[in-house]
Amino acid sequence: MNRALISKEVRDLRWKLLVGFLVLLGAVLLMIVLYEKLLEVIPQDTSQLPPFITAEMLQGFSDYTTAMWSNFNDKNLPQIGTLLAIVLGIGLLAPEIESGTITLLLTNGACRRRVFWIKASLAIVALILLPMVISLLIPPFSRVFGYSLGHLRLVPATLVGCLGLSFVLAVSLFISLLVKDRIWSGITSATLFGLWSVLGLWKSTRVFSPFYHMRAADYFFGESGFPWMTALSYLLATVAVLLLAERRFVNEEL
Amino acid sequence: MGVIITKGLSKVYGTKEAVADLSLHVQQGSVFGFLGPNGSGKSTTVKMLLGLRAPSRGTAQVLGFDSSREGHLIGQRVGYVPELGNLYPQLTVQACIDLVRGLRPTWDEAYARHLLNMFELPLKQRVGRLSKGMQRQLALLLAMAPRPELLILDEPTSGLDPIKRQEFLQVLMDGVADTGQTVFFSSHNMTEVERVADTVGILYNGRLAVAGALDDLKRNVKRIRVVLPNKESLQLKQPLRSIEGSNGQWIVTVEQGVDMVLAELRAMQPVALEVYDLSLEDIFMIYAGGEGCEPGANQ
Repeated sequence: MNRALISKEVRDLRWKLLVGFLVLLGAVLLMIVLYEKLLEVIPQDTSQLPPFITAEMLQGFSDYTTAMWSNFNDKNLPQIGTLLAIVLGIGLLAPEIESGTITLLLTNGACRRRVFWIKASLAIVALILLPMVISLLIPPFSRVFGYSLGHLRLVPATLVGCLGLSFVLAVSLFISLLVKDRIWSGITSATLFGLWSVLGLWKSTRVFSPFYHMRAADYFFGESGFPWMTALSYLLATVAVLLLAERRFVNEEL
Repeated sequence: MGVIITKGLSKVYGTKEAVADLSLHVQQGSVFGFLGPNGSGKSTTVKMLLGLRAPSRGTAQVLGFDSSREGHLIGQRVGYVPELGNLYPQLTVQACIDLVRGLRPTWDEAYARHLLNMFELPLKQRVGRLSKGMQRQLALLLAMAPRPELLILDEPTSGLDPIKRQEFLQVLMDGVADTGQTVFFSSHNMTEVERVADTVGILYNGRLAVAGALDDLKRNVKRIRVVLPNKESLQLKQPLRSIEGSNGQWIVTVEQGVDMVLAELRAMQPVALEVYDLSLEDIFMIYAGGEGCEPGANQ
């Protein structure tokens, strides 16, 4: 039974994952290919820069390893990854409940808990594996274009980001079970995380933004060890939200 | 042995009682026609039996399992064809079959192939592109191929043309004849229920108006036309379903004890006295057609 449910789920997820993979990979490749050109266009006179770009940021950009982290872990992963997590989360159960197709599984002996956990865990595993694979591809791709990373902390830092994305997926899944409409679930989730991310703009509040911790910046810059507490917090928060969602699904009237 | 046993099963949505105090007993090997007009609570009942909806009150046991706690165990032993399609439109026929085969350990591959050949379903076609008739046939194949102990069919032929409907029922009855399966057949189509069912229950406004063997119902529920010129009103001692008419001409509907009613009427020396046998459709109209009385009323 598990095999049938897993292969059905993989079939459902494959196109979304492929698109997510290609977009993230494209963003990374673009950065590698254009890195030298970008260095050329950055002005030397920092007084001409807009206020949100600091000299410190530019200095960091001149280091290839930092530039890759800044591009992938600090921008693409929280942005594209969040969109992917929301799309995956809202697409897991709500559309099947809405269309009634979920009853095909449930009236053929699949229990609700099993269906829920297979769907949720597969989506989360895919959401973690996908950026991890890309982060592992960054060093060889960089080498092809003549760059080398100073260190490989970008890869474990990506794992922290992926765990953060799992939390986004879990929340989106829970919202979709409350709202029950795919479009409104997407709008609600995107609005929630959009507003939540605003907290990351100020030093005093950024500790409350889930996206701020996804960067694992202190670890990447060697100022601290691997952020186990952050990773564990994301993991626990994800499991807690998934348990709420599971409870909601088990009691859902179909 | 009772395959489906419900006791006081009720479902309330807000202030509306969709199913009220439903007590059913479906015997093993029977074909139970579950009749009722649209919105009478048939589909809600079916969903409660399958554990898809929780009852507000009462209990439902299907094949010995409590439907509100053991829906998945019921699902492993039941074949279900819903009123509205529950097949994945993006899957091909083959992928749909593979999915259900993987879920059901009792899947009978030879029987599935037999049905597949009979229905001539295109394996590579996406389900969403099949005609409604073919989607119904696929749903029936998926329900029957695991050789379930119980088939639950919720308006399975709705939207099918008469030829497809006949084919569907024929396959169903052939399958049932081979295996002795119990069938719970929800419908508002009297002709098809009369063709396949040996026992019926009629649901009206969420309540079970009447239930019993179809032959018994036909034997007991009768309509009598009586002409008594000198009578301005008609009073009988026997319990009746309804009395209609005036000026000495009356139509009496009897639920039971037709012989006693006839004896009472004969004693009034009628000018004319005729007894009409009723079809299932007539009986349905009496209980669920709003013929001037609520179920159970006795004028």
